[in-house]
Amino acid sequence: MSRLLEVRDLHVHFDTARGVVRANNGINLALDTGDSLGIMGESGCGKTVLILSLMRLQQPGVIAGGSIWFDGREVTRVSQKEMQRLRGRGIALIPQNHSTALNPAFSIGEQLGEILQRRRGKTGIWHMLTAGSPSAGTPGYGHLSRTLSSLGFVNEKALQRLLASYPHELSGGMGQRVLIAMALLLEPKLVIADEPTTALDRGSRVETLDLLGRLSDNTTLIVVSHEVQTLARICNRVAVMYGGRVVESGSTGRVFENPRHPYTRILLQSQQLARGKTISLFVGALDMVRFPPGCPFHPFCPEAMPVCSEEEPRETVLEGGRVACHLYSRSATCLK
Amino acid sequence: MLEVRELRKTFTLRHNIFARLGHPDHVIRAVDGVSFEVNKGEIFGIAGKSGSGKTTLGKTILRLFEPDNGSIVYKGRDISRLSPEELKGYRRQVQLVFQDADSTLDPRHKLYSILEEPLLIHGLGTRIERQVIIRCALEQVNLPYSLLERHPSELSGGQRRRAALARALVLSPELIITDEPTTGLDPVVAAQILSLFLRLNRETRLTLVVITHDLAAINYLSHRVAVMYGGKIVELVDGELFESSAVHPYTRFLQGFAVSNNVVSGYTDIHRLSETAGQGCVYAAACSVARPECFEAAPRLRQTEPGHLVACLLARG
Amino acid sequence: MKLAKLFRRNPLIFCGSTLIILIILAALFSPWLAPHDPWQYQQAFLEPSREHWLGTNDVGQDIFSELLAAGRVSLGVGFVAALVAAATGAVVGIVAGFRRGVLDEVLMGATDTVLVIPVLPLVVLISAYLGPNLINVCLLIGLVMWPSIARIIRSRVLSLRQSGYVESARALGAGDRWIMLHHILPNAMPVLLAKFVLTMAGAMLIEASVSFLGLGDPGAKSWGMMLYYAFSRGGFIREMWWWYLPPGLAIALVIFALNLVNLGFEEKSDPRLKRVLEG
Repeated sequence: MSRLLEVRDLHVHFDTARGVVRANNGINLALDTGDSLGIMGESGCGKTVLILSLMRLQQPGVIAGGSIWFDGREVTRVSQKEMQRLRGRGIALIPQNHSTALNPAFSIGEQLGEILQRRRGKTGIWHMLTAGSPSAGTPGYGHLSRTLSSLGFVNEKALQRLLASYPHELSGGMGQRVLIAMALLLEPKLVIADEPTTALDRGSRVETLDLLGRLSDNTTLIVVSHEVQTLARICNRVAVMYGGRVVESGSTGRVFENPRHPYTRILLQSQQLARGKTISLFVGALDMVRFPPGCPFHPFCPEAMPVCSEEEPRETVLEGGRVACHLYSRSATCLK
Repeated sequence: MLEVRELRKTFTLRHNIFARLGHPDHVIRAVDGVSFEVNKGEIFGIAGKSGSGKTTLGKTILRLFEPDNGSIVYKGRDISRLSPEELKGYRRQVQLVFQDADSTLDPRHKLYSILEEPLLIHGLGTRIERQVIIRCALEQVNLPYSLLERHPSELSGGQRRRAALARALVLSPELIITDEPTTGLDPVVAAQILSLFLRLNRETRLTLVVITHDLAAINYLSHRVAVMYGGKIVELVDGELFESSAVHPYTRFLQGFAVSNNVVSGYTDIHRLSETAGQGCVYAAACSVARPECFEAAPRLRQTEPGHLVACLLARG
Repeated sequence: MKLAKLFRRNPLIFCGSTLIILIILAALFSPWLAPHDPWQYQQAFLEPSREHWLGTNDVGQDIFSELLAAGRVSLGVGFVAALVAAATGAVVGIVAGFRRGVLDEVLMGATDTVLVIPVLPLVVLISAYLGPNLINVCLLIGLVMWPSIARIIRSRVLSLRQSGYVESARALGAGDRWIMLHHILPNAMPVLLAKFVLTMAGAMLIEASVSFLGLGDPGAKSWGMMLYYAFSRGGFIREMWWWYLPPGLAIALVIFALNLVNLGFEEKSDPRLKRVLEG
């Protein structure tokens, strides 16, 4: 069990007309090989910025502080060229929506063919342009058909039909499988899945969860989602984000059964509505430029205390995970 | 309160004059013989995915589309026979909150003006009274007064949804039809809005028709549920029994308990809808338990137990 | 500080409108700014001097003062004519685009008919027939320039009427008139303003041309009239560049400024791209 990824006190800022948006405010994360970590949060909490920063794709944002260590190297200081080599082979991303992530003008085969070229080390423009759809003779075809068959395209006929089709012809579930295949082709050490089930309907969701579940068994995975079901099925650890910070983390079972942070509780409750019972919570929009001082959640927190509006809570290590909340900071040891 | 009988609305996609020689025009039966009733003070859920005709149904009830056949009766009066004056009055009592709430807010108006518009159209209240009504509506949806001076582009997605709802509430309607109220919203905001509906229904006896594909919302809110597919209602059941006792194959598929042939193939086929030419069950082509009889005779909605209607040849009566 | 921010936000509109505002102010305050009374006869054909910054014309009027006063007329005619054109064009465009059907066909037919007519010859012809009169000129130019505005407004309205808020207003019980006034017009304003500015430039040019040909109102001096006198009364032959250049430059400057403003508007009225960072 070696440490594959470590994020230390990451700060990512965006310069906008209204001021500086602090998208990530001191993120601490650690991931061992073989783990699958879920990042849970709603829009605006900074989770997308976080995973983009892992691949140094956060422009126009800037990494304003902290560091990211991947496979022993400090990714935050590495050159762009090095970074390009890392992307896809070291860290791969499964985007959210196949209809926007794939090029509509090229067939699936042609787009997969480009990746196969890269796998052989042929990264020049000429090789990319002449890639073409792979067939039995193309180097790497065996690997491709093995990958795709583990994703459900079991026979040659199904495979050929897929390679010949275009992105707009695929349903949500199929498209998702293609994206997963594309991420796996270069055999990366870390796979990041961005909201894999949000754009899917029920049936495809079940399928995709199955696939990702199997994937998590033999790959190191980070899954970003706001859906409890998805994360419960795939991940063994989960980190909850709000306002650019990680407010709670721990093993999936513990966090979902016994949530500590008030925001986690609200987030879980909102996805498990009990028939006939109204909820009286009111969580409004957070102004990412002018943060209220103290804990970012305190304006909406049902259990806010006076100290919450003054001091930012530090991460407290408790049994089974960490929380950043003043409710717990007294009765436990503080983190550094 | 609202009674819909054998409602039909079809759209014809015309090909250009050259293509017409080779292919017939595509006829899309958006609403194909739909009948149901909504009682006063109840929350009626309509479940179905995009393409099932649910949005067209909502708009037709408001007479934004003219029905081809069938009748809509509101409080005893036939909607299609209303004069323009009466139609205006009808549109005051029955409100529609559209699916894409963002585009329904005029970007050049401030929120106050957007909320004031319904009152001005119907000539209600003096300036002071209007202010009071608007503030009340904002309170009901939990939006702060400070947002009144902002433009829609300065509000978040959840705030815009709630603003659209507030605008519907300003006229104190008796029936609100809301199309996909939670789609695209984060879970916490969505939960707030659903809870808001429940509260409004309880406190003010507001009748609601909630059209959505989000089954969690349907389970949470509805007193009664209708499931739509291909322009028809395939099942009608009490809200409490929906999760446990739903029988129709399509409903089971939506709930995740069954598979559908469509999904297995994985390739989208946009012409599928017009191929089911009214011969057999509209779901037969995608149904995993379909039998030969299903392709020949279209099943009617029949009662299987009190309060439960199913349109399937395989359901026991 | 604030000026710098305005400038950065949209440099075109800033420069153009500053220029225009300065010129308008100069023209408006001409009675006070002008060193002499532009109608007063003094010594003729004088060269520029300290006394007369741009010399005097053939009847001894101070050219500089004339320039300032003429600004009022030229700008005024341009503005009023553009106003007439914009008002007519907007009404036609909105009604035709929104109502569609037979009304649309009829209105567009009329629009196309007038559109085809060559503007300058028509104005020259009618001016010659009706006689020189400032009001006539304004109305005439306006009535000739409205079709292109109508066309543009109509196409904007055609796309606006499909908007969600129009459908939603209908669902609220709104009638056609309400929607046209309350929703279509405000959203067509950016386009209308941009076109208005261009039309004003065009109108000024037409007025200058007509006056230059001698068909202008001698009682109301415009820059075009100044040019007419400069050329017809021997200013050109006598190489009195201080007489014929300034009015021409003034016209060019104003049209340039107006075009800048128009460019700035066009940039702003482009559909705004949704922000990707919304999530």
